[in-house]
Amino acid sequence: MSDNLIQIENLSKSYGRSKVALSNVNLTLSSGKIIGLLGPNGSGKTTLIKVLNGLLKDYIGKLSIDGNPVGAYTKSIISYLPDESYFADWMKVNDAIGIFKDLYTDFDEVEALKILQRLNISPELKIKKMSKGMKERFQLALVMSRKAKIYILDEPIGGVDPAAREVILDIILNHYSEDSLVLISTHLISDIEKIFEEVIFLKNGAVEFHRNAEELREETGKSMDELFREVFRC
Amino acid sequence: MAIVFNSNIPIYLQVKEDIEMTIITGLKKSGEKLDSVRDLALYYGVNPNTIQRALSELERSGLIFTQRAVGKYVTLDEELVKELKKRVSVEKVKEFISRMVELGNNQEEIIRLINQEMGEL
Amino acid sequence: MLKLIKYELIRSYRNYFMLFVVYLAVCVVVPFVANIDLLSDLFFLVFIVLVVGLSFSIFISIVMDFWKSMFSREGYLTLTLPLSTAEVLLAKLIAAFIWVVVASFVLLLGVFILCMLLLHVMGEGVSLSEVFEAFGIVIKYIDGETLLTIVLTIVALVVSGFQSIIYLYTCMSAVHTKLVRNARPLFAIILYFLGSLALSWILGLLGLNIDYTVSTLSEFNSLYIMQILISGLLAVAFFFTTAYIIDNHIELDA
Repeated sequence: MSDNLIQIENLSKSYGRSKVALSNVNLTLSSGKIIGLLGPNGSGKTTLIKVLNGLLKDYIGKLSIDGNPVGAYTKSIISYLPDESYFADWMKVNDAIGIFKDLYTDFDEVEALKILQRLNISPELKIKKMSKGMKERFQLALVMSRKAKIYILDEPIGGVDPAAREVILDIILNHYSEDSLVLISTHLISDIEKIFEEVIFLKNGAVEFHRNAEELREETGKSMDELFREVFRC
Repeated sequence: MAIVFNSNIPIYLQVKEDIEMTIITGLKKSGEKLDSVRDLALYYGVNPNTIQRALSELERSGLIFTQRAVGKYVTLDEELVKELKKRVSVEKVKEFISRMVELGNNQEEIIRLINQEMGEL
Repeated sequence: MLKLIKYELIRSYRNYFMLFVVYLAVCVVVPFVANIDLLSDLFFLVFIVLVVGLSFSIFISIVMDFWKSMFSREGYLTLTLPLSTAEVLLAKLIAAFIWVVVASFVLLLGVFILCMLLLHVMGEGVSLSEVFEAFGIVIKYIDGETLLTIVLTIVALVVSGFQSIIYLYTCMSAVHTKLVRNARPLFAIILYFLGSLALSWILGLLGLNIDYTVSTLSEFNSLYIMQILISGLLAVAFFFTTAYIIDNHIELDA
């Protein structure tokens, strides 16, 4: 299925007069795809993601998510994993599950518990007792347990050891569906590039290109990781 | 995780080759049903559309066929599989020969070495 | 909405409970520790300190709670919930107000305990039944008009309470826009004071500043009604302003 789930037209965002975060970004993202948003730190990836999630306003350009502007509806169809832990420290895993269950109608508790078990995270565990990697995996479990139309994952495998990375990629692939779009922002490409159908290279806030990964491999004989290093070599 | 991928070349080609191997070696027999696209994607750890592409290629070459609404199956045409086995084997031999020649072996030496090692197997 | 309010309360109760416990503990301990004559100057000092202390703590808690849950890393969750900004704000507003109400009762309770214990310590202990008796006598003196005043006072307090809280929210939200990049807490405080000044000045110009130096109760009552209307309108205005700011100009950079 390939409807234009996310449509970004001429998106520009700057901080003050000097710092340009996004520069005339035009993108069309369809469902049924796993897309990699690639770029070094400071390339505008996080800004783009925040704009899509309604965490940044005051931008120029037009955004259309499932035909709607950013608002309560688009937030209900997007399952977002930010780069930070967003739960209060005193919470337990169960508390977080309770919140998701109550506030998101597409949340599957059974699925969440299954994934947590797979990741060896006990429901009674307190969030403040978790290591950074554990917190990220825990949030990922919750985010992927929603049957959302759009999944936006900001650095899902950063700070996670290689063994856990395979599990995470497996979880992401497991929740792939033709009706949903998965957008993954990362700068750790070699581990994850084989799950991308398309890749977007973002450089200094502008889209270098948005291409099918396999086609790029055929054309250049390079991996996405190599291409990345080439494109972003200072 | 099944095979380690070389990310420099299209992944669908590598998946296609791996599936071909399972058919040639008899791991997947004639008429046997293949796993679903989803399961294959999880098995190989790659994008489902990549699997689709690999399967399309295999279908084009006639190695697998689709039964509508049921799934994909290995061809019943055993001749075709034999052909493929021959083709792949010849490829491997060619690779081997060019490597050996690179090392400076001539035909006699190559054959002698082969017999020697095969004898020990 | 109810669920939201429930979560707001669950999220914040630890903090408030601690404040209440500390406050009540002080109320209980002070009579035994200090030698205070009831109705002496020292007593009033202690009384003021307790009241101001608790009120200020509650004030700070409400501010920090909003700031943290909306604009720190918790904001990543709060601002991406599948709800309209108005719903989120309303839930927080109501939860904060509930804490103010609870705090008021705790405040009164503490003062009551303090006085009772002081009387005991001073040897002039009064029993609870005597207190209730006195209370009963006072209630007999409340006639219709006084009752109206009491009701209006309560309504006015409620509306002003909402207005104050939402005004805080407005100031905090305003500094999380592109207008302010650094030292946000400082600017929020400045905005708060300047805004309050500007507001009273504008109200003064419009002749809406209420002068409570009147003689009769009925005049008092009609003034109260005006106060309620003005505060109510301001509360609504601030509410929608805050929602507007968050919907159109928010910048979360936690």
